Amino acid sequence: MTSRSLLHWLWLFVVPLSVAMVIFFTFINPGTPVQGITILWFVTFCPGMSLVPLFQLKHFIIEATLIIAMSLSIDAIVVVISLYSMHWSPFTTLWVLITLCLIGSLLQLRQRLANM
Amino acid sequence: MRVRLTKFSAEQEQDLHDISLINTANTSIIGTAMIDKHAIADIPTIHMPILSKTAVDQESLTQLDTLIDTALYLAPFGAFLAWCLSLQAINIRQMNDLGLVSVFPPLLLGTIVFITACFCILLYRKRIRISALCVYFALLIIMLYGVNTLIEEMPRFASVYKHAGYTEYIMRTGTVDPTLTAYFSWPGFFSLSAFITKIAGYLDILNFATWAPIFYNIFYFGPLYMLFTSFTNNKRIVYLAIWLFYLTNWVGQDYYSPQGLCFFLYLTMIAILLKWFKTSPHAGPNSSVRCSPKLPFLTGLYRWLTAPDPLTEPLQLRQRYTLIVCVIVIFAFVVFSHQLTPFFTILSVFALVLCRRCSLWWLPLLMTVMTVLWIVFMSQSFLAGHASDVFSGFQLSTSLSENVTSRVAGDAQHLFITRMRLVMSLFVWGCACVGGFLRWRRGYQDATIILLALTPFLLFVIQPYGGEMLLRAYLFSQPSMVFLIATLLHDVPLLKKNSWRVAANICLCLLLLGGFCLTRYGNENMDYMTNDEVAGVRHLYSIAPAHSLLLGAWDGAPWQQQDLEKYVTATLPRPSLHPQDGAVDFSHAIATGDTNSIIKYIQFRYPKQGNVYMLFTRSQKVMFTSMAGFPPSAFDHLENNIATSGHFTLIYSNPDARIYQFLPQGGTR
Repeated sequence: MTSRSLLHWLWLFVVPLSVAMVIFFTFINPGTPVQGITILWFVTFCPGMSLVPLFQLKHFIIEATLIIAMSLSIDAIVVVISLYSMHWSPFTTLWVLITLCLIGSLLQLRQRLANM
Repeated sequence: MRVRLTKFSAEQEQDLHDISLINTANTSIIGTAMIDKHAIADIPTIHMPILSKTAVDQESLTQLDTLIDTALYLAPFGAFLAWCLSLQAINIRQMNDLGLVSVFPPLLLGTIVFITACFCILLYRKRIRISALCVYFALLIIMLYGVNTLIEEMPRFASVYKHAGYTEYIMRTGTVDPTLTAYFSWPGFFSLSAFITKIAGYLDILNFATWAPIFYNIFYFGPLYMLFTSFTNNKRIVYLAIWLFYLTNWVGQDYYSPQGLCFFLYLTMIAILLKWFKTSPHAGPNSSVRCSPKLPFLTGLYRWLTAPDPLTEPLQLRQRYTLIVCVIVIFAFVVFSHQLTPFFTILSVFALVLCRRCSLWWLPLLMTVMTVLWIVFMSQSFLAGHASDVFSGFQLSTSLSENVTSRVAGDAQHLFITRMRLVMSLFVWGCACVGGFLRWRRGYQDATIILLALTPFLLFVIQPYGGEMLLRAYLFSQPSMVFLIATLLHDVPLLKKNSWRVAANICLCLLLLGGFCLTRYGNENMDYMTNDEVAGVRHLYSIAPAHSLLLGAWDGAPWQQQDLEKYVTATLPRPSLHPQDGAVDFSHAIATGDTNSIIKYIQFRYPKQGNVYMLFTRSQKVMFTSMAGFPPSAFDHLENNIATSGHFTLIYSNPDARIYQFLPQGGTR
């Protein structure tokens, strides 16, 4: 396995790791300064990071741009749906986003295994 | 004529590649070395260091190159260190109406000049070093857009505090009430903001809003890169254009606001469309249009506009579908987040489709349907009160009056800044015109760039947007404009020598940098907020019972950051506490210190309904003296008259904020 492909495999675990950190700092040990940074990282990158690599665009700047744009768009759509459906609950919305991220990560894993 | 591409340097090959592609519309040969003779003759020769044949000379040259490269790597870090140290010398309290420039130490300006000069040298080295360029961009963004964050006490802009109030309302109630503010008809950004603030464990957005300009400008890098690489293969032009973007982005829409984020999303959508959804180069010009002998110019123009763009990227069908879904999802976010950006997007995409620059002909229709449906069903409250403003047709004279004429007012220093903003805008547009003309002369088919540069100004003709439309049009046209400026010096035949070109680029960048420092930071004296001002406003909210009238002496106070629905908030120039008041205006009363008419108005409109508080802050006073054109003493005179009128009593005071409570019957309390 080359270092590049190893990096690709490691990259796959960034989203689950981020999810674990979000759960820890938001639900298990809230109130630390790390909570804000973890949440900002999660909402800005993770939903897109679980989706955009599936497109296989293979260009770092382009993928990073789409990751940020898609992350914020997905976050906002989920949040606005909860707002207009009169079910405003930030923590429930966070769980929805976590679930979406994990589904995306599983799809990526499946794609990688299929391409091996 | 056949040319062997291997004879040219890397940059020339890129030029040749571009030209070979742009000539495909005429020669129908794609990506080959079949190139027009005149096109090759026009390519500026790049004089790279001539390598000696002897190994010793080669080695010494290589050592020199390594030394220069290492120095260029280390230079920005040294400059940044010096910049950080120079921040300590800034005393923001001594700032005048020229803005931050009036308190910048020479060292701070010197470091930005130095980093710009180093960037231009680095850009024209033999090899483009992406990692080094990224360091330069990161440090430039921090130095230009982070300086406010690092030296100011609180987030700048009164609008940020209003946005904090909208976010706080959603966090507290879990709903939006469009009758409170028009922003609640487009709640995407604020609901996302409320969600993030809540789960991050913050009390309000003020903890992180101050960092928004840095993050937004970092975000802009990606889509700008995508956009510019869809215009050219020449990476030097791409990076120079991005650098110029940061040197000309003075409009200040990158604060914590929906428009700052939506501009990033707009760039991303346009970049996706131009990167992967261009009309196929095989399509050729539209043959259905016959050449009219009476209107040869129009026929030629139409053919130029509709000639396919040769720089296309291959894409699998599955990737196409997913990227289309991405564009629709991103646009959906824009539709419910900001009232103006969807229209800029629709106009740009419509122009691209109309001129056959984009293959997704149905996309502008879908975007229009999405926007109209949102406005009709979800923003009825806004539409009911503003239908005449929205559907008033062409308003060029109103737009010019509100966006240009009425803004050129105020004291001498503010007038200078306003005029500098006009001059800088005209300079940017003028340079872009010359750059575009030179490219057109060389045979480049730049219709896409021209369309993206001009379409934002259509909205300026239609809608003045409270005097802000020209700023928005400038922002949305800026990427195309800076790209054309970046090509300006690249294509000048006089600058054949690399060193001349570097020198010319440094001069251009420094000129734009000088303008940026004045235009971007020019209004800082009224935009920045102090701890005392915010503490005064917080005290006001802590003592004022619900349904109180909070009256600001002038615009610009950092308030409305909480309990939006509980208070009636108004400012003295045009309080309009009742719909029947219409355009009630106390500007003259304020200028002459006539407090009686103000007191009578409050007694008439607010008789024993609740408490009335009047707020005087530092930022209000600066805005009053610099923008309203009244003498500086008039604000103090007004406050003095209020304090001694017998109808107000001072209940709170700190160096930057005073709160007076209204006594309906007069006398002491």
